Amino acid sequence: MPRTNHAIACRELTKFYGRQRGIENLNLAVRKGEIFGFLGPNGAGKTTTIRLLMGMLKPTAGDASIMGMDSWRDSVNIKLKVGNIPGDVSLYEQMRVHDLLDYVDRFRPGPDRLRDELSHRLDLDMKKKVKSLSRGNRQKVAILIALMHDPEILILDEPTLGLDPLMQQEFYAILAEFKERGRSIFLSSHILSEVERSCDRVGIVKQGRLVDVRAIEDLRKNKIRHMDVAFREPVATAEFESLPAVLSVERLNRHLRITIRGEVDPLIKQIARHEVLDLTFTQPSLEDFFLSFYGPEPSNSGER
Amino acid sequence: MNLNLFRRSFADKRTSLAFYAAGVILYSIFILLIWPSIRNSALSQIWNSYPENLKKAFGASINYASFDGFLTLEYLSNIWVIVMAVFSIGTGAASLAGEIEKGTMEVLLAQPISRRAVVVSRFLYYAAALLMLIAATLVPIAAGSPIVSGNISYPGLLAVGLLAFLFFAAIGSYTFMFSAMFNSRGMAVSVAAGVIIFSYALNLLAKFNDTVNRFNFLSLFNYFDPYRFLHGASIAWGDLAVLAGIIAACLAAAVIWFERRDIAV
Repeated sequence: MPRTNHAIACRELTKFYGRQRGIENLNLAVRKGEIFGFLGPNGAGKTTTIRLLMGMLKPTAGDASIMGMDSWRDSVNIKLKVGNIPGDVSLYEQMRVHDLLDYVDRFRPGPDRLRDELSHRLDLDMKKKVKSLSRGNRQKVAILIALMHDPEILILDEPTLGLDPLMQQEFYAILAEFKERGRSIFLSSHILSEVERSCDRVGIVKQGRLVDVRAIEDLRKNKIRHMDVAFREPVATAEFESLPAVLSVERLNRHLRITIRGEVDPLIKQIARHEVLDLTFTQPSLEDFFLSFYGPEPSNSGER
Repeated sequence: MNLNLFRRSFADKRTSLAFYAAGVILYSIFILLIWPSIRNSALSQIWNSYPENLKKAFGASINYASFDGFLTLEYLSNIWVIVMAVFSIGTGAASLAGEIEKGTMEVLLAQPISRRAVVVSRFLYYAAALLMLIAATLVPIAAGSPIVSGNISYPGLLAVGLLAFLFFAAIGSYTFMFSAMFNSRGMAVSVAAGVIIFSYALNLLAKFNDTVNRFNFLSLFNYFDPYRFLHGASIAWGDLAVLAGIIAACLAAAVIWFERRDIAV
């Protein structure tokens, strides 16, 4: 049985569905009290990893542990300490929200002390039947189920799926409060900005393999971004091309597209020398991100 | 057993359980109501005039002119078996495979409950519901038979209740086993229904062919003879032991399989 001081640890964790790879040789450690992002495109193996951690799947090889307990063998004890949002959550359609929460609550010995506060903050109508809820409201119910007992560890699979931007903000605020209380959080996502906003470190998974683990600051510094700037007067591209972090400058009439990796401050100061009509600084897509860090992705990605 | 899951199963299924109970109660009352007209009619002579092979198929030794014979032929050995088997297979298939298919099993197993407790709690709910339906069938018959002058043995009726419980629970237990194996409710229903149809066909053919009869021990219906229990009030302990063994073996297999399998659609 793996013993570790980490909140979550995976050692050579592997899952194959027949001949199809889910995840392979995953080595990972999530520290106590951190928010760890698990970033990867759809089909990279994120949900498989979470299901292995939650004891839904039996590893083909290797092992996973949560607070030193084996994910497969000690599954019941682990779940006393873990709150989980499954990917693409399915709830009991015929139940009212408060009945569902009562039902889930009765599986645990402790009180659901955050239930009232969270339901208020997430603006959830507790009297409605689950089948009448929108996608976003169902996700709120899943969030409540996972968080209402104030668990020591949160394992969340695409937790903001279906939430509107305001609710996403509220959710991130709630996660930050969990972190302040020393809770450990493992969060999977295919949205780079989500991981960047909420996590301390990020593990990057691609085609069933963990390709990198980075501090989020490092990620921020090194990712490629595009800045689109419209100037009132024509501006020479050369004055931007010479800046240290700028990779390329394209001209589209008076509008420049500047591609940058690293410190943005020198570029902003250079732009400020001119009269600016408009400026947008777009987050890279996940595809851009992978391209910038790890080269082109092969088109064939059949993994779960 | 997890009491929370056990109670929730009742709450979730209360409507369908009420419909099943209403159905068997009404049919029991219907049987009681038509018995006086059957008793005084020539139907029993017609039954006696049927070809021996036809009577064999339904139970040659059954006396149609008696209330227990009529009850067996018109209710306990046909429509009641169908209704209770449908209930058993439907409940068993929905309990595990149905939840996996819908995705709700992932929510359930994210709570601190063992897989064994899930199987056992769900099976105990099914067993309790089965007992209720058997009582809903037999209690009106016990209460109403003196009113319609239908002679019946109360110990025999109690023994039929015991036999029926074990017989249908055997169907339920092997359905639970398939439900633990498959990801789809439909697949569990199909295989479980296939087994009961095969079992019925084998038992029927065994009555006409000695070679087939040697294999009749494989048929569940070989161990289900309500008339013998009702009429003679003699309990075939061997049959009951076989049914109890099937329940124990299938339930154990369901638990072992469910504990080892992946939960993912």
